[in-house]
Amino acid sequence: MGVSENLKRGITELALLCLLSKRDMYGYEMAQALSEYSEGRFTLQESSMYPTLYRLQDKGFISVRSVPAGKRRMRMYYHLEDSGKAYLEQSLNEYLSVQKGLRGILRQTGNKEELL
Amino acid sequence: MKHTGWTTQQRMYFKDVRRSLRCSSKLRRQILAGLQSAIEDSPEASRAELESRFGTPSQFAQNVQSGMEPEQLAQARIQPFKYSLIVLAALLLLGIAGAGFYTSRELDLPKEAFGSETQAVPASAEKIEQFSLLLEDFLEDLKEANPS
Repeated sequence: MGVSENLKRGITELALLCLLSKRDMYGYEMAQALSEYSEGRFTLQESSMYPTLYRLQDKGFISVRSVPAGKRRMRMYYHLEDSGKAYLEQSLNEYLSVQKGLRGILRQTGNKEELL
Repeated sequence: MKHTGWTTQQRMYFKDVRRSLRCSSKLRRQILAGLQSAIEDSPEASRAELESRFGTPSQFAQNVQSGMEPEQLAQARIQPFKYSLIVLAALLLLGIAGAGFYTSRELDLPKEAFGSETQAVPASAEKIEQFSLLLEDFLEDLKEANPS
């Protein structure tokens, strides 16, 4: 399992939780929102989100409900549960701590100074 | 799973994705339910549109694979092995049941099949016990007749 895959999974999880902290959303809506909010830097096909969404669902952090959307059409909306909000808070703190640490390393080693 | 109102392209895409997925049956069910709902949400979508949204069936499977955690991947690896074991156990049971049925038929063959001089072998425990009691009586009679 490569670092980039773990990183991608972690970021995907964090991004999806952030979106759901705003309001309940369905898959396509989340993919669109990610692309829009990240100004095209973070594009994710819906199929990439499924394992993360169902993992979060299994852990009880999010729940799913089917909402009728027209004739014989059902849309699956994802909802962030209270335990999910706590998990998001914890994940964000971890992410910000790692980011701060990494910035320190980059600064001290003179890498990408123009961005810091 | 009923796909009423789907186009042939949508049905084919769904079928191809289902075939490509390599994950636990639970995750597969969840993913396919999500995909079904997404397809129903865009009833006019062509295969090309579905592929640009979700990826080709193999990309779809790859995306799912890359999003899986180590324990989900481990479950996916166990799954085919589990099915093989279930199939093997079912075949074994079928074999045993078949052998049992065949044997019971052999024992229950009608008397006519053996001719007038022979009879089917008594197989019950009661008959065996009766036979052993008779044998004991016979041995005791033999002892009485020849005490030395």
